[in-house]
Amino acid sequence: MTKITAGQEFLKRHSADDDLRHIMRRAGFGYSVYDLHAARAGGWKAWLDAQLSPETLPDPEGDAVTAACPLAMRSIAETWAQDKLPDGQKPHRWAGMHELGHRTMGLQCYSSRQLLEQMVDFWTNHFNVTNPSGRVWDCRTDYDIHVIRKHALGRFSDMLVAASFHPAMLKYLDSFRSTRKDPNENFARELMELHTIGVKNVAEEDVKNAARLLTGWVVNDKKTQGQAVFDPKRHDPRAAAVLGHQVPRHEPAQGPDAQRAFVLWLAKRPETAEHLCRKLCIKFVSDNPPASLVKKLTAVWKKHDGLIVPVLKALFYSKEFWDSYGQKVRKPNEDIAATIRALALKAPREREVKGRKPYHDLYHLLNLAGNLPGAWAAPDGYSELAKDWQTSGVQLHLWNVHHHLSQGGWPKSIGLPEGKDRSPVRPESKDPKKPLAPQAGPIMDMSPPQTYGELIEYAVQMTAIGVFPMSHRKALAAMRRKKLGDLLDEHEPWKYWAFPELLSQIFNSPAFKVR
Amino acid sequence: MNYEASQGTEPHVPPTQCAESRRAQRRLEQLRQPVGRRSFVQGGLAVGGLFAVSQWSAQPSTVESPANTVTGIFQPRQPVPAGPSIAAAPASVPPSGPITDGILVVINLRGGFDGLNAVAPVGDPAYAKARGKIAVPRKAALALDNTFGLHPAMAGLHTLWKANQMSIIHSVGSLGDHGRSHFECMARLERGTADLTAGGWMDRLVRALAGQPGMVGAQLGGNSVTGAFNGTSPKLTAPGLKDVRMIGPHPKHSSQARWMAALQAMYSGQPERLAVGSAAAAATLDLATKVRKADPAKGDPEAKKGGATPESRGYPKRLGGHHLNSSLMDIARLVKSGSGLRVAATEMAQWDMHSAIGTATQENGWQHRQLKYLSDCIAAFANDLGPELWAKTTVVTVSEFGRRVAANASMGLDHGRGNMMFVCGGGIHGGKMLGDWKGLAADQLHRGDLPATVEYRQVIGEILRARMGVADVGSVFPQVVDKPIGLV
Repeated sequence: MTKITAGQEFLKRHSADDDLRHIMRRAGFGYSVYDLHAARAGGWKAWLDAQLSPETLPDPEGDAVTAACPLAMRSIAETWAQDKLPDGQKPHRWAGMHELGHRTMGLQCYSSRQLLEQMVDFWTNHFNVTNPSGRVWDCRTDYDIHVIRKHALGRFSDMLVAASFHPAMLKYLDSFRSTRKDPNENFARELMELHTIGVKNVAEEDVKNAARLLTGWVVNDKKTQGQAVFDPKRHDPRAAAVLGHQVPRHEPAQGPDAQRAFVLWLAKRPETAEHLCRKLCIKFVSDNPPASLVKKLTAVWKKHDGLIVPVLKALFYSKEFWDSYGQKVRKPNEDIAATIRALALKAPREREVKGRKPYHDLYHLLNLAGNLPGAWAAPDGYSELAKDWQTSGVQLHLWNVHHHLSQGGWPKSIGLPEGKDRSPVRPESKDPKKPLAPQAGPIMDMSPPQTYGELIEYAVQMTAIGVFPMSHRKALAAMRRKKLGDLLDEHEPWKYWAFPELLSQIFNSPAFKVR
Repeated sequence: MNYEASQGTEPHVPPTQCAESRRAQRRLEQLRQPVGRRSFVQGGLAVGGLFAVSQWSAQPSTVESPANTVTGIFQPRQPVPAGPSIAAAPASVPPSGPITDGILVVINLRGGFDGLNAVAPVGDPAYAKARGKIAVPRKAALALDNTFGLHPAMAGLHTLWKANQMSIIHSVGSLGDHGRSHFECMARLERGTADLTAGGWMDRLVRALAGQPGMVGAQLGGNSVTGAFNGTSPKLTAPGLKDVRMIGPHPKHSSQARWMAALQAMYSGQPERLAVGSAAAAATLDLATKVRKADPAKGDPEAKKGGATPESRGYPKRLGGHHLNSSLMDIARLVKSGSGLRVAATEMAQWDMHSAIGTATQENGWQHRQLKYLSDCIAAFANDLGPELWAKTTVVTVSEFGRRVAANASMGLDHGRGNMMFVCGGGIHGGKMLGDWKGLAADQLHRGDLPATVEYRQVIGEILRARMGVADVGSVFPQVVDKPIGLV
């Protein structure tokens, strides 16, 4: 463990509240002061248990997101029925894929099923099928619902089989044009290198043999309306040996069974268990995961035959997880979602508000950060490593997003609703005669602030950011050329309309970057 | 056309990722220069040194980088040419052979640029036949040689040609034929290697120039960071120089300086994983602010009244949603300020001209207007830089693919393969048609498309070696054919 020095106090766990913060940042996308308060009674174990059974959690905000993104919920047949316009007209084929991106980001920000959304993020990257991309226009939403979300907290082998033979994957990695005569190795390679046993365990000969075995699938859009069909004539039925798995010569029509057996065999390999457990550790614990934990989780994975929930439970209960407090850094989608959650904003109910689409605007906040959900071009998905996100453009963009969101300036449609339904972490009034009244009063147990130090403490509590170093507080007060003990000026703008400035700078600080 | 919209109208042949070449690439990169945390931090320090933000970094700057000794960064502004003056190319500074400190500006023509009307083979009878009404007539073309003529809209570039400051490479394309999808072909172009997970080639270029003082890489224009810059090199990326700022500070009671001071205090001494991005952001903010103060333009937060406009510097007026004029002006401002800029990216979109592109002489036609704008912007950029800096600069155009040789039934052009590249610069031996042109006879075409007989990486590779001081071109373009084609 590295030594914590002055100004780094937020890198260490100090209280039971910090336990909650740790689990809600890692297993979710962040929290508001209300989320934190609500979780205090049961503690982190109760919060985690509920997250591990998401179907038991009421989710009105998530339901609102889904209701506002109906095109993201369509099956292949529905997409064809709605988007395939008569010949000669340009179909709006990309609407479903875009709305899927909107929904994904919306759920990360607003859903109460936070761990589920983190796992959806994980699997979306693990089994990446770039969204949006032209070839999968009709099946990418179906893939999200029936592969990623359906199995996100299920059994790995089920998900692997579902992903491998879904039209989206068949098209994305070229299986749909891999034939007996001309086998395409793309999917065979990624199936082993990325999805299961890991690159170091694959030889060229294995890729060639697996590619032969996996031939025969056709997704002929026009004829089959986007559905996958197995064509025995295109399948190579010869005997094959891949990594010690023997495939006997079979009837061509039995191809799908032989393929399924191979994919299931891969799912149960110990190398697969280790590869996936390491990736889960990188996602949830550390950019340099401790070998001890990978080993421990691999054993749990094998014992439960690739069931995800017991593995996650072991991960979050491990000493290594709790020792890793302060080690992970939020990637852009996590950072923006955390800001929205800390501001306790409500999910927009409307698909369109005054000509603007709130979820479209929310999604596009991630564009300049290069982190649109699912949009990574290569099959390996977005990086979970802090070093890959530390560029000037990304950082500056996030700082500006913090300000837009704190101020409710942009996107307009996800800013503060008019009237009483304001975000609770903002001052009550713009009227100079009515200074700050802490709206979260019963939770925070605070009287209206009198000094700059108290005002900063108020903002710190409102954002529930946790331990906020004294030197950082002094730096913030210095923005107003004040010391912490100075009494607030009568017309101090931070008390009124400029309060969001203080909030943004707290979101801009290193303590908020920590996941 | 923005890129996103263009994807919606294509014949949907999207990404194919070839893992085999990706793995080969991975091995290559490991052999070459290990790129990771280490070189990243060094890059950060080089920037930090210049703008005195090294205290942001967790590690004290113990490396005495040349950056720390750079002085006289913000010299007085260059005299500004009065009004549009594309009639004459900047007085030529005699090319002095290879240079190592050149500046590369890459203009990405998104959507699939029609190289066959821009640089038309008017001497080939098959051309007029294939293109029909939308062909450039021989007598309208601006003559280049016996075979080729420039589109009549491109008088600006013709001036550079005549001054031997532009060469043209025809029948160029990307590595391998990967279908006709914008998405796929653009990804190939921007990655510059078969391995799409390897990051962008311009990012590798910035890293190859690591240790150079100042902000080496910048992208101006575009809705998001170009794939060519995908990676961890320090760089400035923004829609415009005016946009590199903190939105938060309120003019009445606050300032960017005070915000940044608070952030600096909070980030100093923090672990690398938290501090590096912030130090880089601070450096770009600092640079952009200084450039804007020394050389204000309209729209800058620092420009109280007025400030330069693209028109006042000789660029054409903005055309629709195309900001190439201001993007190139911003790049010129960075170059003139002595910011250290060596590698700049910008773009012009809406080249996906499937229908109603207009004729060559129809001045309000879609293709005519865009070609004129592009040509005038580049010519103005040359003037804006002035002879000395223009002599160090090389501007190249790239596009994901060319367009079909034959026109379609809607007076438009569908997606093709081979294309052409403009290479402009005060210090190149220009006025040459280069590459391997095989003519438009049916047996020379590839399924109705111009073939790609030269790879675009070979063209840029020559510039990297002869004008950018990159000794190992393979570190930027793995497995490139590293053979000069006669540009320099």
